[in-house]
Amino acid sequence: MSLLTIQVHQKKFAERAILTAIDLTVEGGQVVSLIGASGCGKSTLLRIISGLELEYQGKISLEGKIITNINQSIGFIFQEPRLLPWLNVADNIAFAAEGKPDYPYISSLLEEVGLSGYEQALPKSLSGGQAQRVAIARGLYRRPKILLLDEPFSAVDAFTRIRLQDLLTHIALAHHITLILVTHDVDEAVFLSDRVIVIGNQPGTVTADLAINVLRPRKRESPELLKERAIVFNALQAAHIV
Amino acid sequence: MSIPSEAMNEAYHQPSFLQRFSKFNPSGLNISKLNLIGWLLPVLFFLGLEIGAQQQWLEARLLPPPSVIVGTFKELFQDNLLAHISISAFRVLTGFLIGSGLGLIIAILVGLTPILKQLIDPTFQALRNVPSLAWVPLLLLWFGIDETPKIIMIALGAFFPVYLNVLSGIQNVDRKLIEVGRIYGLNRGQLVKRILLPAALPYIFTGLRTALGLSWMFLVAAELIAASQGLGYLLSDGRETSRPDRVIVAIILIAILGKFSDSLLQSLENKSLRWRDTALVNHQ
Repeated sequence: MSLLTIQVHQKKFAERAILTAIDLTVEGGQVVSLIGASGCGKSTLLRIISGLELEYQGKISLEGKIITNINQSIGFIFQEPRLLPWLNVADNIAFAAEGKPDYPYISSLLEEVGLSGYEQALPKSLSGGQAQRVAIARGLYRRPKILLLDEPFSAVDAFTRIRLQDLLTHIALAHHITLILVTHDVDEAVFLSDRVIVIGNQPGTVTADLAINVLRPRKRESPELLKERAIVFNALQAAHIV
Repeated sequence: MSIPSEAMNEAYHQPSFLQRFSKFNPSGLNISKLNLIGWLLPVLFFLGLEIGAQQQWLEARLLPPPSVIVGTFKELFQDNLLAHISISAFRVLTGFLIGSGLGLIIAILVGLTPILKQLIDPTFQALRNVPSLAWVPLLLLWFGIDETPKIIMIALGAFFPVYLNVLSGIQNVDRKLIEVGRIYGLNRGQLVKRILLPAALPYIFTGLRTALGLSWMFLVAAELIAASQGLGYLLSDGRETSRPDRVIVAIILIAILGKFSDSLLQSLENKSLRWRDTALVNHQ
């Protein structure tokens, strides 16, 4: 049985169809990128999977069970860190706790994202990359089976983005978490993913579903990755996205 | 795997632009000196008043100099001034707590319930324009001349600024933060406690400080009309007995008490809102 089944027959905003005929299955431990033009509905698709968007025709199933609301097995990392400015770093991560927060676990998560010793720091004292690391730690707190990421590195500089991509790869492998990532960046999609799904425009639908058959650990400029990049780029051209 | 990074530590210890900006002080004076500057205007004013009265440029009978005011202050102090201050402070505190408490609760309910907002808000928006003195005849008719109408009047003054600011604060909470709460499965009550109220805290403090200032103003209005004790009564008594020195003592006391109570609230505000990334907070 697949970990996640996504069937979105139609999603409309103000009578305009945004998504149509999406039928995907995602296996456990996969890293899947959704790539497409701005406004093609890929972020909306992520919000539907998360349970933030409830008005659509179709169904989402997690391990065979239809989910109709927010599900605690599915984490979400937003485009911006969205830290609560009045809480320090440790309490921002503890925000994900259902009962009493486990602070030693929070410290271990901070160590994992490279922010040991930052427990008491307020969000205003963090750089954009550090804040996004805290958001990743918060997303991991509940040990989700699936982590959804909506353009998580689009607001950080190129060097920080590379570091965060490495961190994300490590987290996906170490925790055996399924990642579904929305991105505009072809290089990011190819480097991180086992699968790149191209979403075409108006209304958004799957125009290509490409496996990235390159073993990990990957090297960014390896010929295999460059070859896969060319395939994804061709698919984007065929869908008139570039 | 941990990702060690020198750049991260560097970014953590680097002051932000706002922090650097807030430290920009072209005068070269430190903050404690700047605080002293605030005393300059009243000191110069009273010095001018004293010199003017002694040189007989000013009519001391209408504009008593500080030396006379100090004498009146001593006289009033021996004649139960503390009782006047205590009763006024009690009225302000009680009225402020009732008015701002109700303002806070009703604003939260109205802010979270669209139908309640449609039902209540237009009436409140109209009532907030009614001047304090307009309530006096009605309150006297309904409650007589004892403590109740005075406290209700002060509560009315405190209610509207808190109501308006808290409502505005709740309606301006970033939708993105509310989504964070939804993702972690917060129910309505938890959302209010853990996101809406902390996010609206800057607005809440603005409302409380405005309400406290208005409470002192409404106190004077209430005590001017029907009171036998209190600072408003001293004002009224000074007018009736042609004692401007007594009026000035009462005005100075109201100003000092108003400023003192606001400073207490301001220090609580600074402590509670130290997470804000604003030039003002970083300056303090």
